[in-house]
Amino acid sequence: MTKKIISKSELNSIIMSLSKEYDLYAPALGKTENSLKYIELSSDNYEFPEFQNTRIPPKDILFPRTEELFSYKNLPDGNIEIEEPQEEKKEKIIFGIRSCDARSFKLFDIFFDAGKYSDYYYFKKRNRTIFIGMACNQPFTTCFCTSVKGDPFSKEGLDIQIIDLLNETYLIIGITEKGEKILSKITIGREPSQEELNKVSELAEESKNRIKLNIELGDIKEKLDNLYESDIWESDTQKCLGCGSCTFICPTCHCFDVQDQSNAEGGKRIRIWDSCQFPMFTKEGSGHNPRNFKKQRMRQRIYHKFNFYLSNYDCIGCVGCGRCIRACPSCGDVRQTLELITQKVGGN
Amino acid sequence: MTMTAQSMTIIEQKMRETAKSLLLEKKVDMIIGYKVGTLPLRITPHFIKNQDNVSELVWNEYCDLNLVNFIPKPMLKKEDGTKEKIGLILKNSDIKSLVVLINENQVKRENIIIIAMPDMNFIDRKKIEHELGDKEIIEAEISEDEIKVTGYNFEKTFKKADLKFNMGGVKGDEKPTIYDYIIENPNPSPVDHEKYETEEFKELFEFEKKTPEEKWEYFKSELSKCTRCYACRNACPLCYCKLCFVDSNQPQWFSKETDVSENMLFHIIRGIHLAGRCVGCEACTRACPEGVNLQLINKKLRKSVKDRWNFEAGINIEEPNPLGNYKLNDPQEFIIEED
Repeated sequence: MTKKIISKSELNSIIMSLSKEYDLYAPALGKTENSLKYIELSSDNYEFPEFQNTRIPPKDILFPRTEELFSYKNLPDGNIEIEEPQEEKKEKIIFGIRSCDARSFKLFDIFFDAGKYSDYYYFKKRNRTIFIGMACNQPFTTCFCTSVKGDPFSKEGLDIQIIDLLNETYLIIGITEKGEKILSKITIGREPSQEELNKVSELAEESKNRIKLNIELGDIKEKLDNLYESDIWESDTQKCLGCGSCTFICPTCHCFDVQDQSNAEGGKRIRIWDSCQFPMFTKEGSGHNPRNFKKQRMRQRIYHKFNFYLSNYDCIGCVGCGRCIRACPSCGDVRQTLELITQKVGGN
Repeated sequence: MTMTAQSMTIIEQKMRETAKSLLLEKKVDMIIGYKVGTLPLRITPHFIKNQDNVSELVWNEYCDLNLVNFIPKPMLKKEDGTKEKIGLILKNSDIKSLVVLINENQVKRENIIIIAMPDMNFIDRKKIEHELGDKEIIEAEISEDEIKVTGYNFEKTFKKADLKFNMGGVKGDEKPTIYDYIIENPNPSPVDHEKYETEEFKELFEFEKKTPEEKWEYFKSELSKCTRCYACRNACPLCYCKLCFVDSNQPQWFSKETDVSENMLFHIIRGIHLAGRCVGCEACTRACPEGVNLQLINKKLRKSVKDRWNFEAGINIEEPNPLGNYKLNDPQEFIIEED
């Protein structure tokens, strides 16, 4: 496990040199907004910003909002000629992600890996991606990663982890083979002292203690098993607009729709984000809709993340980043829902 | 109009008393109002059936959601077969959208009890969010003229005057067209009507000075932020179609991908569907998670309808929308020689 100490300017120069060899995505200001987003770096003038977490998760780097699966041309003899999208040339680096977002990609891996039916499009990108995380020193008040088996300093899902020692220096740690390969190319930096290594555990403890909310979710699956017909789904959902903002901004939400678009010359098949909060999501060809009511859709969302994922994959399908709470126009709060559920005893 | 903290407390108190008596006297089965949200400067809709819960209702300058949107459609029936009566705590701009709903036969007037709240300068939280970027507000201190927000490693003070937005083109001292109970400001300050008129469409006048190329660039950049989450449509009380044109797939009118031209189509068509109906409550702009400046399109259409047919939505409960009706003296300069 390579461990190095670098300065802030060395960090920025490492980012710049990596961005020449890789398609590097790091938090930067977009053209029109005042908020950071994980975008592909193109300038030579980058400084890693100070931030808690980005409003939008990096999931669209590996799971784009709109993705062309293939396109086709109509040939004069009535046949079609299929064209697959261009092969990705460079490898990708997603730089500076927090542990919650790194964990969300692990959840994506679990979901998209369906054995024989693994998602070719996701893994094509993901297998050429290296994750370099930045440990989280200052969680938001809405964060609850520790309640869902996460941690602000967790290494899960990362190839390299960088820790801000809060004194203008950073500790880089190589975690996987992919990560070590990159670190072997970096010549700057020095060995960490024991003091510096000890500081890491101090910072990790302080960061964890900043997360005020700690809901006991150890038996959330069992609790939910008994609450399917509960009236909490009616009362908790009245304020929901069904807008789907929570699903779009969630780093673990992965539902999609596949559509074909064509004209006289040819067409393309695209995959687009969809949301279980839209009534059309479950509308069947017959016209029947098993989730016709808002409360059924909201119930499904909670069950998917806190019950079905546990049944199917033995892990919680939420990373506790709290983005859904800030995105909700009605100020809906999943933490309140979870507290309601955990406080309910018995089947009512 | 500005309102002192003292007046707001009195108003909040009167609102709670009115809500309590309505529930006690069984004049309503449920009250829909606002409750404090779990985040600073946020409120959340509150649905109460028991008079003991009225103390949870709040009234403040960030009550920006349009509660008309939460009227159950269809109205729930009670055990005796009659429909539930709902009491709503509404701002003047919200009442205007209710007027349009009643006009369009989506809601029956007799099933709604309106508690009309006085107007004041509401805070546009999108302006604060835009200034702060990703920074989180941990605490907000509201004083007479300012809001001070603090978070991790920052502190910022905003002047309320820079944050206000004029919902629904409401003048500030008008009585709403319909209401059952009205809570009035105990200390109203005089309102400059002319100033309101110019303020309401000021953004539009400034925008219209741009060249077509500049306007196009602006809309391209704004609408490329759109993720087609449809929060705007869902937050709008007047978007109630059972099957929205954008969800139609036999035929599919246009693509669901987030291509900027498809996004433009969605917003322009939704705007046209709202022309003559939109009251300017800005629920759409508040709901948008990406901060797209949606209300600009609707504002332009509101002005166009006003200029052309001298019609403002949400004022007259009987008068039909000019785009859904015709009058013999409608302007027709496009086809005949007019004076």
